Amino acid sequence: MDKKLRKAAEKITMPEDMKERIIKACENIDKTNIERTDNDGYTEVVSGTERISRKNNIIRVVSAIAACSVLAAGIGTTGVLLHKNHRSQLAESDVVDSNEQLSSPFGDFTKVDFNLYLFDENYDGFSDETYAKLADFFNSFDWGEEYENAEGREFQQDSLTRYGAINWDDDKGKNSITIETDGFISYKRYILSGETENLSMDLAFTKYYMIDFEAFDKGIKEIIGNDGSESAAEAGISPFGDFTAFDFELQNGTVMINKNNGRSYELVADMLNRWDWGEETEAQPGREDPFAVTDSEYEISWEIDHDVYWLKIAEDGYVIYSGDRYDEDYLNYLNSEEICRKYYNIEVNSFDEGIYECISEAEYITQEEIDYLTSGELISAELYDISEGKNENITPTSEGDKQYVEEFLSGMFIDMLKDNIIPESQEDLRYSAVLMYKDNDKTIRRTYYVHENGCVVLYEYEVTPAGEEPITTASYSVDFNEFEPFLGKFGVNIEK
Amino acid sequence: MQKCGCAREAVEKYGDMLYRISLLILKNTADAEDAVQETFIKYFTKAPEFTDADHEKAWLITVATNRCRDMLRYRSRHETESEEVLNTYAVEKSDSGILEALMELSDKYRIIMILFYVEQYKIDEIADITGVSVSAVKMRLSRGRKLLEEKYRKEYM
Repeated sequence: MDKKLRKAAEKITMPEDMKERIIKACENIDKTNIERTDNDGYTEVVSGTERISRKNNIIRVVSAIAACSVLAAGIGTTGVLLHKNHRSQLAESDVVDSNEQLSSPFGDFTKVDFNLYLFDENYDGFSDETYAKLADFFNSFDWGEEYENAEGREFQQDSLTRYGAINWDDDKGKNSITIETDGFISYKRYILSGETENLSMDLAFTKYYMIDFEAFDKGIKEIIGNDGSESAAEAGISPFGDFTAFDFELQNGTVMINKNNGRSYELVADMLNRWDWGEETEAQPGREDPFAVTDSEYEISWEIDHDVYWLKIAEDGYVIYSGDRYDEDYLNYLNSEEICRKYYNIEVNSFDEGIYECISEAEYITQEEIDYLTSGELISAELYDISEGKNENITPTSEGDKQYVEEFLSGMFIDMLKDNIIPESQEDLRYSAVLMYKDNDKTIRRTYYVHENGCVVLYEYEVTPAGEEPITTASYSVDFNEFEPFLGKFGVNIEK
Repeated sequence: MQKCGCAREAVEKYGDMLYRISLLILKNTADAEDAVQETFIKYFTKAPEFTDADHEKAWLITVATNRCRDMLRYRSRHETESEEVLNTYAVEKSDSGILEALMELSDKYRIIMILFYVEQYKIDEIADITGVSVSAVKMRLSRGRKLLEEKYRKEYM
């Protein structure tokens, strides 16, 4: 069979027209990989990768256009809005003589209601006192001279270098300052124009600045760090978001946990939220690309709207967090754009222990899970001996025993399942229970692989005329010493 | 080691292999083409220095299989159109059965089985390429083989 498989597979070759398309695409990429050196000696590699996808370009253009409106309208899941109507209180305050300290080219921040967004931070809001300090900080910060070398660069809402934005309105329009982690500042002013019924907001001008980002960030953190707001970790939220707020899947070589795992899943979600992921670090040389990291011990993935995220944790504790945004049209899901990538280092042994503690807390599965696993009308239940490479149907043939086994597998066996997950081991594989159900117009097959170490793995398929479509898989455990004697009682030959 | 200098040379050398792997994993020709194209683009824009030809080949397979897995992961959350992929190929009826059986396996088995039986990688090499442990590769290979036998015998013999 092995040779047959190879022989058959080797007949698959790439069609010539496809080959030509790919060559052409690669040649276009090659041409656009221009290494450019500007007058400062700064070398920039302009990659043409994104040109291959028309939609990526559209997304970028739309993002640029939408940046201001998005900033004004709200923030993403990881962003944070810091806003207070502090002007009146500040106006009454005589603590700051802002004119003496004003070096801001944007005007006096103590005189306006501004919003500060920090895209990738988790803070819950600040006191008026903090806002007063922020206004003073912005007023006195050295924003430098207007930067002339922006070369058409625009802030991108989903840029990897995004840091934050300051927005405020005045009588004549709106103002928006975006800050990026390389110090690039873009200041846009929009003014209201047109008749009362047809008002529009037009861009009046854009100015650029280049600041000392470290000094800026340090100043911001010093102010908001003292605010007393609950940090993300204290609030039980990971730097990647709240794992209890979305469905995630965790896999390592032998264990998979998803929402089907009830209690274990909840514990793991809580652990991922509270885990100390530490400070963001630099990418390790040769391990920058999440696709090329091959030593991941754990892979955790989840999806929010059309953004797919994953965390890859390598055996040495190196963590890559990345996310891709996909087109809404699922048929074009290949059009994706990276929206984030960060690196961390964690103590992987403790992480490992934590995960196993979560999944080893033995609890019977919930009634909800039982209801799911027993949903539909049972058509048949068969038991197979799959030890030592066998695949032998050992369902009793006598009507009475057969019925007992069917009832046991579809009832008591499900009740015996626990949420704790035991790593699979091929050597321990002992039985498979194949349960067929009719659920409305669907035929469902649920096969449970039962290991002697108590590990139970479920594979659920929908059986269609065209074949079997996988629905889900989940891991459970069972007390094997309790499970097997039942089989013996119902006439199953349990001798190996 | 110098990587292939031009697109034609690289696609001629590795195109069939990457396409075969991608098609068997993704079961869809258009998706497979995209996975292969993205792999080559990555090869020309982001590939590291390769120590030898084996390193280069393994890197390409890693990038392609990871891309395929990523696409499957996305696909698992979204409906996709199925396709009778083998009908578009001049694969004989006697050969298509085993490939169809292979394609019915869960992707975690399928990737390992393709690398082992079709591309003839060793278990430790597969562990390196796919990023799963050696024991997990063994387990998936063993179980995948059983499932393949079961499916093939039941449906095609």
